[in-house]
Amino acid sequence: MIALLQEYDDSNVGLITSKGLLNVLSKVIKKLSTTELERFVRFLEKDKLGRINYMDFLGKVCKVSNKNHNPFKSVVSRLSYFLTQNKISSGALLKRLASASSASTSAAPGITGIPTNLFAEFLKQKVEKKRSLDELMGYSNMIDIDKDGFVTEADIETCIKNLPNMAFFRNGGAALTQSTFNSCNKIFPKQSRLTKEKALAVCK
Amino acid sequence: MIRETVNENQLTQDDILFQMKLRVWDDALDKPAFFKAMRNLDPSISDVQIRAIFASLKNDSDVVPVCDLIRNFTGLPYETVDYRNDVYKKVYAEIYP
Repeated sequence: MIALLQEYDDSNVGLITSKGLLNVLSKVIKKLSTTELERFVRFLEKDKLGRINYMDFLGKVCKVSNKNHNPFKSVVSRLSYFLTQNKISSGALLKRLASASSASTSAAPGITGIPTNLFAEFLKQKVEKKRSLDELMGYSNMIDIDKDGFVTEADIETCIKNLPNMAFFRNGGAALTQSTFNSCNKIFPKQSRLTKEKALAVCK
Repeated sequence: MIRETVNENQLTQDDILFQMKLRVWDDALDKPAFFKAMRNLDPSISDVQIRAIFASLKNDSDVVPVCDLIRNFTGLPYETVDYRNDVYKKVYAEIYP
């Protein structure tokens, strides 16, 4: 359906005319008559030029029809809601979880991180009680953006900031299951200053 | 419930607007203005009910245009949010069978 919508998006800006949307819906939807679809399209929200944002439209289709359409996004939304309701920052939350945990909670020198399995347990207890621990373990791994095995403040903030970003959560967050650029082996600089030889090499 | 009352008593758009102390050309209603208008219409309606109606009628700018409000109360079935949500569900069912 997205491909069909893109065909009608001449200027490639994610907007489509009412007529274009009606044509696409008439092709895809067989159970509704053209009149019913016309009546439906007539009352959709449009910009000043009468164009409809078709990604928003598809978002609404999923939101209205199936609240569990994207469970990963739902978990991140609930986590964001949890932080807001409890008036706690993600950093403070991680510090509290770290103080209650006996496991190693240092993702890197000076960076607090909670192992993904412990974070999944936290999600199960406080955020998303209805889902199984195994399922939440998968989401916890997705939240661990840099794939270092720890959920850090940066990981949580990245997920929450991307809540309106459809690309980030596409296919239930499939893009986040593995990382091309990150690995669990991190290399952190141990010296704060460059050696003279290195500085010369950089300045060449 | 409001629609049922409107239909039973054959109330017109003007009756509702008069009761709500609104005009069609008034600015779109934000949350406080919406609460005030709904209280004018029916003082017995609860905060939770008003909040639920506001949530289902508001647009992307978090306001309810007067014409949208009145259309949902007094318009034909296909002019309501319920009809729109019903079509969304049918579209979803066909896209993701």
